[in-house]
Amino acid sequence: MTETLRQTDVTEPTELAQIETGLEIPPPERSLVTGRKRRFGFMFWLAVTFLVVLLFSAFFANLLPINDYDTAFSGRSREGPTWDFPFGNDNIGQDVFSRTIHGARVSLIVSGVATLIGVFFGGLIGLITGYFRRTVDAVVTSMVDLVLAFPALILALAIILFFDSEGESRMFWLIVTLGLLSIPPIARIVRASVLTVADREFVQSAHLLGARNGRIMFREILPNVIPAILSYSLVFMAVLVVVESGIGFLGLSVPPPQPTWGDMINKGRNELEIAAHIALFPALVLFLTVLSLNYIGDKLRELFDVRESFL
Amino acid sequence: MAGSGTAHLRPDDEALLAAEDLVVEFPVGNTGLKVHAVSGISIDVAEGETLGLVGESGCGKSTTGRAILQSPAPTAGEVRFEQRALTSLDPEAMRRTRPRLQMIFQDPISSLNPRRTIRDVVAEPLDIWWAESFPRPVVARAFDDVSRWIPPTLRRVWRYAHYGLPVAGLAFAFWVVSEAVEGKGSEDWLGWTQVVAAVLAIVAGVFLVPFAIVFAAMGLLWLALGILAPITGIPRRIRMLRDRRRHRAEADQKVTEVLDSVGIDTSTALNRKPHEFSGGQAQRISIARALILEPKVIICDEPVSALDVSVQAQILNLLQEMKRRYGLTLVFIAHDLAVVKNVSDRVAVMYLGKLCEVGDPDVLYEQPAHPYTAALLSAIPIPDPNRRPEAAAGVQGELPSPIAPPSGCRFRTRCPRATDRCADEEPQIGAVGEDHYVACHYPIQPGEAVEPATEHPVIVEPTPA
Repeated sequence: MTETLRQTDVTEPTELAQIETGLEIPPPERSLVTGRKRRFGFMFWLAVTFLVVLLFSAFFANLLPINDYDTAFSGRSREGPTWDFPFGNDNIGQDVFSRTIHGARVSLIVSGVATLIGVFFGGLIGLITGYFRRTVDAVVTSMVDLVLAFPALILALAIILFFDSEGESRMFWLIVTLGLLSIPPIARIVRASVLTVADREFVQSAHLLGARNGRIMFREILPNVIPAILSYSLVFMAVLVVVESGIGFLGLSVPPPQPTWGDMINKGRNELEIAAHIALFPALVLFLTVLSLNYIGDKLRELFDVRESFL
Repeated sequence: MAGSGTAHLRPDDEALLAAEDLVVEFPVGNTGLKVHAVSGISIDVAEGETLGLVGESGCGKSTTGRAILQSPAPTAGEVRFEQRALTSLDPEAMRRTRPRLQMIFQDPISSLNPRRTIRDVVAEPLDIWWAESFPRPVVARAFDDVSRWIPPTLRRVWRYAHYGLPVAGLAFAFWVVSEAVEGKGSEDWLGWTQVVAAVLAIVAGVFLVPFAIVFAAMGLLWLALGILAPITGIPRRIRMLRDRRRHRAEADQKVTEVLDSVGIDTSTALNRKPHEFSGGQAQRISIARALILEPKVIICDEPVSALDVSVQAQILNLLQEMKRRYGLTLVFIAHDLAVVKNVSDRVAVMYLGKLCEVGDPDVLYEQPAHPYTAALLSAIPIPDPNRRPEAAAGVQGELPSPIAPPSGCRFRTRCPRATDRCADEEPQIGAVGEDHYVACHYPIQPGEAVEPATEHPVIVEPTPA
């Protein structure tokens, strides 16, 4: 059993090292705020801040002192960023900043809820499949593989257009479709994680104590699987943001007047030479959102991996 | 030594736990080959006794221990506990019997859930059975029954239905051909390929459609029950919530009591996680968890193999103390002969899934009747600088593969006494002395020297009269 040190367990290694090697090894970074070893680093908290600010603004978009997203300010067509309009105006004169924030609502809600659906059902399926194996595994895995064989974007578009060709309840159908499509990959990941945990001895001992299968699954296996799933789901949410924007770019996301990032980028495409800011600002915010989600997901995964390896 | 047979078993009413002709075989992937981990082991333990089960790594002793606890259930054979057959119990009844048969594992830290505190880990058995004391609603029980019944039923239906798949494939092929032919405009070909395609499709449908219906129906039933079960369980949960405080106080008291008795300092330990403890302490915690349900039998699967020697002694003493205090019966599985001799009232030696020798440890160690036992004993290093370890002492060669074990006596490939008879005939276990049984065609007689003849041959002294 190799034992690796948890970061918080490192107390005074540097003095010893200096005595033995004579090298100047700098002491571990200490956070100015808490005095404890810095676990996450500056970039992590920057990403968290960005996301929190974005979430906050998107949630309270209607209450914020920003312009209406569909007011066409006459005479301001294709104006660049100014003090009054931080992201400039688009070809009709609408405030790009305000539209970006309102667009964030669609992206975040769709990707967030779809991820939640995927994690809930995919997690259940993965848990059951990974625990029971044999027949259940064979059946469910083949169904999962079947869905995964289809190109996701095309399947999503097909479903959306089939059920909601008018665009009346596009948000609902987007969430449902992306949620359904995210179940198989998440189920696969959860299943893999469950397989590694289910063979561990504490699961066997719970079984020998007389615990029911359900109890073993939800009280022994699940708590050990959740950290990995948590970090994966953040990364997955980033993917869904991109997918939703892709669908929006094709013009099939929530229809106007609701702004969506994909739609804004699409409309801004024609203006790239004269007024690039119309497409670039939503693209930038999209980029930063995805980057932040990925980064946070990665950092969390690192954190939880360290704990796992100690065992 | 390919010991089969039950001559060494004591009569039923004397044995608290008995296994007869246990066979455990694991399939190797999809190759159809099988690992013969345990092939016909019969052992028993009387109440209050400690049975030591010894053997090399890979001989199947851990598998035997698990098979006795039906986790996983053995491929064949019978296990009797308190004269009742465990092997024929249904899973629910077996689960209810489990508190009386506990197990301690080799790796102390990984047998404890890393995300739980010690208090939770040791209290878990109490929590489990406290929750069980609240009867579950009918829907939940129905859900369990249905869940257990569905996979085998689906498997059975699929065994008939899966023939529909190749037929469907053929039908599709013919349809494709007919479509291709349609373009060419050849009337006769078109006609009959279409007919064949249609017929094949119908045949495939006959096979597959019932399966699809059954699958869909079962799926819907299972989902419906699965959603209803937690909902109908809410009143039960409320009752549990009300009783929680009382239970927690009671459990805490028991946990503290049992942790104290195994030597863990409860004033500081309760809220720590398993990885914060040393191996010896973690093993004590495992023992505490096994003891808290007051079992009758504890199977110790190499409990001290992963520990330092000084800690080994402590744990062994602890086990003896607990055995005395709780009136336990132990099955002690190990590969260290010295340890087993110390602890056991009776020793069984295993080799490659078979039993070699069974008997009193003192007799066994002074007068081993089986060549394998003798070789194992000669391999024990003697801490005397004046004695040189014999190059030829111990068992030569490597353990044969359990996938293709040697015919007849499984030890014959490494046995200095093997003859042709050993390859043809499997030795049955038989008595060679008072409570001393061996499975060998040529057991070592008292007074015989054990091959290979060396400078310091192991002479088996006859016991003084």
